[in-house]
Amino acid sequence: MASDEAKAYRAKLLGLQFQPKGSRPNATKTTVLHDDDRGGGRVAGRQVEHKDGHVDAFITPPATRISAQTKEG
Amino acid sequence: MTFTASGFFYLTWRDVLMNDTAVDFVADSIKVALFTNAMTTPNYDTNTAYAAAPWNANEVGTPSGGIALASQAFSVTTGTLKFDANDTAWGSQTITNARGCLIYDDTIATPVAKPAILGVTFGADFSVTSGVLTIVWDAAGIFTATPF
Repeated sequence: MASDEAKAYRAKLLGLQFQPKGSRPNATKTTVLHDDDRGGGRVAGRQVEHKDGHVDAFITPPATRISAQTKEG
Repeated sequence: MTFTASGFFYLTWRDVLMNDTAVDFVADSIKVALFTNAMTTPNYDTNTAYAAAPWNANEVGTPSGGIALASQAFSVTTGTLKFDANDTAWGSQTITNARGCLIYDDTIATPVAKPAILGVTFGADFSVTSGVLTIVWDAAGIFTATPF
């Protein structure tokens, strides 16, 4: 099996970039789980599946609002 | 048995505004706890605190009791008051079907211990597998107060 140096040299000749095993990005699949208007704000959520099997989630609920009526005059 | 609406807990806010509780949104340990949609529907008029029904069951995520907000701050922009904090993340673990969260004051012991401040629905179930669940608070903040 060729060494990483040999693979890198061959990749360079082909105009490619060689990434040694272990340094490759953890490929992900992102799924939008929820994206919805709710109460004037937008709830957004996504799930990210990583190549190593772990799954992360990111949730952005809209700011909850207090509306205060002011008395004038 | 659903967590479909966000809201402010009347009893706590009444106590805050009447100076009957010493809640300090910035100095206190304000925690965020995750709950599933199996919980009894929140009643923002009558619910009192974390660990009191319905916030005494169907919690998910470790540690129990949730994660404390960090860098809480108030600000104002053209008359709109904003309460914000750093994003809140549950470290690498498996969480199944988090539907919403309760924000409460973990510091306060009297007149009501751990008073409920705000309930926030996510609108859908969110799960992580050996991963990190992060609430990325909206650019508008966690809550705002706006005159109209």
